[in-house]
Amino acid sequence: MERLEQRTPSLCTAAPLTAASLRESLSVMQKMLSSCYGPFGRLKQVHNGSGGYVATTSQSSALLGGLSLSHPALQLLAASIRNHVSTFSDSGLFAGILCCQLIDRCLNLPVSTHRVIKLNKSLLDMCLSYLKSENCACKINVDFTHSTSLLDVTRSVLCSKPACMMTMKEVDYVSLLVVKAFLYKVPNESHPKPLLGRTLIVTVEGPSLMESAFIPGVLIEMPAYSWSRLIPSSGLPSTSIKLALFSLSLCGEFSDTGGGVIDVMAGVDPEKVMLDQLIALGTQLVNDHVQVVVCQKVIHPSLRQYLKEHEVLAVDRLGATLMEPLSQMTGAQPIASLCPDSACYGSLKQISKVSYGYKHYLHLLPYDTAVGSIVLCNRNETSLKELKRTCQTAEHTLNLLLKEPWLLLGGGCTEAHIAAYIRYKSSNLHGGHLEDLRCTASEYKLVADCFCSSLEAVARSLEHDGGEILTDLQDGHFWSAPPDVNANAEHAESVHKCGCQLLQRKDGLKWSVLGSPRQPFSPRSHSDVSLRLLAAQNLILDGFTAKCHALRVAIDTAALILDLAYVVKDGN
Amino acid sequence: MELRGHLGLIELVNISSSVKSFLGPRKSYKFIYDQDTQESTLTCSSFRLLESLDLSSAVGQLFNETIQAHHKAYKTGTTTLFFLVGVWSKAVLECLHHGVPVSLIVSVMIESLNSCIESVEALHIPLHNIPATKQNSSHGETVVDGRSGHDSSNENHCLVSSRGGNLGFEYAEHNPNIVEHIESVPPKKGNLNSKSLQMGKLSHSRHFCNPKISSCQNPSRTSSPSLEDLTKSLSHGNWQVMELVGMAATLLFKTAHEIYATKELFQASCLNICFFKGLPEMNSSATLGYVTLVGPEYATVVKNLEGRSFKVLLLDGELTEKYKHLGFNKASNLKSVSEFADHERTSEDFWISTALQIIIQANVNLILVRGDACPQLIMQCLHRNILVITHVKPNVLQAFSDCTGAEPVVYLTQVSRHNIGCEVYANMCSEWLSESNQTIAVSLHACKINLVTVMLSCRVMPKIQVMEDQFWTCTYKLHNALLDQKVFPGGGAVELFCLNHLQKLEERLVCVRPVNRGPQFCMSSWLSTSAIHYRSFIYKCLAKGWTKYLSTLLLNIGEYSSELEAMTFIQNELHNIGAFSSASAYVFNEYSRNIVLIDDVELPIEHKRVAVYDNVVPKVEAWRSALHLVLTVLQSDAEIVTGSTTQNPIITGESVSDDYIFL
Repeated sequence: MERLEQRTPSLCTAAPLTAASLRESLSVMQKMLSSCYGPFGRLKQVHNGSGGYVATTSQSSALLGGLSLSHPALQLLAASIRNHVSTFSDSGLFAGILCCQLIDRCLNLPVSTHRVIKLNKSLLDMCLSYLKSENCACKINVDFTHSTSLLDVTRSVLCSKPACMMTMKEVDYVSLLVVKAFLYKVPNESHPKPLLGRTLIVTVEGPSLMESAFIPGVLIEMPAYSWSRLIPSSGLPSTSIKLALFSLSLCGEFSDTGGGVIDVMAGVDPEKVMLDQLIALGTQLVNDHVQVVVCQKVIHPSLRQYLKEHEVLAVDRLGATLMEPLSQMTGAQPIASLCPDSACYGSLKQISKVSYGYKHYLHLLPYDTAVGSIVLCNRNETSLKELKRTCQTAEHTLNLLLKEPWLLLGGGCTEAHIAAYIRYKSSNLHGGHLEDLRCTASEYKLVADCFCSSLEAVARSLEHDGGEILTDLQDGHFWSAPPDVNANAEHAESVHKCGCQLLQRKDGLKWSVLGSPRQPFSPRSHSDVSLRLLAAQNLILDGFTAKCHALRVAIDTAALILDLAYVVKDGN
Repeated sequence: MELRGHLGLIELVNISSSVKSFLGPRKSYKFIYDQDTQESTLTCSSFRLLESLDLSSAVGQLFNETIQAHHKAYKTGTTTLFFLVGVWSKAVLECLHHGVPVSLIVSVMIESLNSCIESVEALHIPLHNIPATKQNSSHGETVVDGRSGHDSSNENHCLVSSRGGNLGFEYAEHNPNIVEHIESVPPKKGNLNSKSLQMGKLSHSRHFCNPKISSCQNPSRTSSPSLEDLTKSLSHGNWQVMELVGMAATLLFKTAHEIYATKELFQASCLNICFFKGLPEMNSSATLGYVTLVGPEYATVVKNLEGRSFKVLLLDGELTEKYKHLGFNKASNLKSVSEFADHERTSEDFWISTALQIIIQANVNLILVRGDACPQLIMQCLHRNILVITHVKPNVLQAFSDCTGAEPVVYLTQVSRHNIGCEVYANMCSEWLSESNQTIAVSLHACKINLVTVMLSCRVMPKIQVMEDQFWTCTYKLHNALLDQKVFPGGGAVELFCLNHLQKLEERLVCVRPVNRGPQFCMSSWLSTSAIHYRSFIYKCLAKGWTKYLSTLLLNIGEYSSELEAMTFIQNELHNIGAFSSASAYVFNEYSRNIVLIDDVELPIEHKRVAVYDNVVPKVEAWRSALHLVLTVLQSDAEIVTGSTTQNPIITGESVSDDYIFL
């Protein structure tokens, strides 16, 4: 018997943004994200409340990954950050905080939302064109002949996640591994197929972080006691190894027939029939002089034994994740049938055994393809997982440098500097520009002010222990100072270097509290600081591409949310 | 998102408070009572205790994860980790109370712990070329560089030996027969020791020690301790169990004809445990080969096989009809069509006869199966003089595979003459007949087998788990020592040294203003400049953790009747170290020679002359893990609950007012 249920009409909420609950939720979201921001950020324990895995993290991807949000506006915000992070890995928290700050501030403006959105977009364009211009004073060109800036940016990314629990020595060590892996996978110019290689991350829980390593090739984990059973009596194949890669299960089970039933004559053992076919496959592999058989799934013990007796190394249960890298590395095509074509085979240079901690691996070394593995060790699962995510971010940031070889000054300096630049620009605007935007000078000033203070607020989120943030009135950089410092007084004692480590304190520098009302000033241009930028060492740097995109995502998402007029909810 | 009265840290303090009595060589047993099942278990290991604690909260899970990871890697030092988490959480709470910024607590604590760990490298006692047998120990004198401080001829050496827990049941008889080279030990039975008796045994301690050597410098020429001395030094009160470990190790080295103990040879995978319930503990012993308990129906077959060599088949699966290898899914949509209406035999009978045929053709007399076996097949095999032993551990299979040349197979159809092993011997261990005569013990042996079975006998059933845990702890203590090739002087020496180091760090702060001692912060922050005001306070808090650890240790040993006395002793000792020119020299003189000494009437004089050693890497890693856990929890300010019953994530501010915010 069927039961019909009347459809409930959709629920429509007008002007959702005026609702206090949403603004409250937004402010909680903003607090949550900004408390995670930066190298001194606080961690969050994400879990499902019923005994599931606890992730201790301060990474936007992990934070927002499991979050199920009630309000569509928040869902939209979380989705755009997630989307950004999935493409760029970095600057997710930056985008989130900026977006929340902007929405919150813009809602308080006595300007029509439509105009606010439009002005925000024009301010964003101003930012981006400044960042992309030659004149930008918070950007450095990456010198690929030298590893300094590559190491600096990697170090900055690794430092920014405290849950990895690394000391500076360990950060330096892991940065070196990540940069090494990056340089390894960038092809030489002479290579006929200039294809970017690949870095795999293998995690080992238990050993100290300093036992982490980078090695070329792929590592396949071997279960305990399997080693002596794996290796043929003649030992491992030595050089120029022929390899067959199977994506098909070789475990000898009867293939799935869907819903159909197969009638089998009594006396016919389907398992034996399958096994005969497998042994026939084994014979073909032996005749083709294949020395290594790797299977994504399970190999039947009898086939295994047959192969071993014929001096073929058989490795099974590879898993799906290693299939593609292995195929790329060896040139082997994954085989999905029981009669492989000899063109499918790949080649390997060398096979050996390595151990990290209590785990044993089969190490496959390629001829000339740039597939490498970083073995990451850390004390416990929590910090290991965070470290893995952070290293992936660092790796991605380095990859993006190949497209856009620039880096931005980190440690809050870029945000503070851009804010100073926009403040100055917007206070000296031509009347014509205002006419293009169809707004009054005061409206423009209000929106620009709101835009800049949002940026400054992001920079201020780097402080978590109640300290004060100052900015200098020469370059507009970020300076951290003790809590009760007075900007006008002589507080030079306590400030040594700016956030990105580029500038050092010197006499005669004027200060102001970041975000406090002050006279707009023009920060020094690129030509004034270029010498310093060239000579600087140990800078805190951020990825250029990710940050620019995050800026755009934040402002576009804020525009979308500000523009929300109705929320239509389907209750069915 | 405020941090006053951090809930997570308070939770850590609460969790770890339960482990206080497990610290040190004199452990008190705990009964763990399960209210649901009305069952109780006995334990004195923090790892087992952990299994019974309710750790479902986020912080509890992190705690569990940390301890499990440490246990997995080292199998020892979990109690230290457990305890330090609590005391350091308390220390951090105190820092928070004094308004020290969180980021500063984190970086200064990590930095000072690292500094301490670097400084205790001076206390490493190198272990090279440890003579594997006692006969060699007199010739095994080698020049070891460094400041190792062990000298086996020193008269003040003694053994810390615990005689059971405070429950007062029979625990520690000593068996004269189990170690062949100790003949002079008179067996002492029925010693139901009481607590007062134990305490009365304290005779020496480091303050009663002979001061004649306290002024001498670190000896540069020392002899390596023999394996026996080393096991004693590492036994930490589990001498009986450790003796078995030492025996097992000696057997393994002997088989390999090694003069020196090496880390490669002594692996946990070379050891197997066989329990004998109901026999007195003095019967515990270790023997080469594989000993297992089988039913009485095996007796005749074993008798028949005694004295001759036979062939072995290793099955890495089950010996049943239905068994298929892992990853194989039996097709459900096959339908058998038969031309004849009935079968003469069922498929199982058919399988058994085929299997039996293969086994007979293979001409084996022993089948070791990892999993289960079909009982009918076992009976048929027994009739034909073939032993089938089920539930054999993978490491045992591997050991037999290594020495007999047999290759484990999954299915009987795979059997060929290439994967059959030969030269295996069997005999009955008649002395191990249990009283009820339900089972008999069979010993299986092969030439050069790299496997030792330790036979643990125990009269008190609840203690079986405890004994097994103790056995593995002792095994890994020795294994880790051989692996690290160094040990620490034990008895709290390392912690005391760290306290002294922290004091020195603090003094250095006062004398000279540190001028940028390396990049401690990855970022220029006001914290790096104002750290100076808080540094000494943080050092003090960290030191409080170790002081608490030491005083609890001393209290548990029974050397002091109150914590105050223990504290006074620690302060005096710190004063002494401070007065000495070289702290490491002082610690070596005092601790690797005259450690906490507890007389043990049952052990002959020679047994009392051994220093107490600690493992190096497990200890240091336990400190690190403990601090990392505390600091991770300190830095977490909120819990995010995803997908809860209300389908809404909840953010819990970890402030005193436990507030929930719905998003």
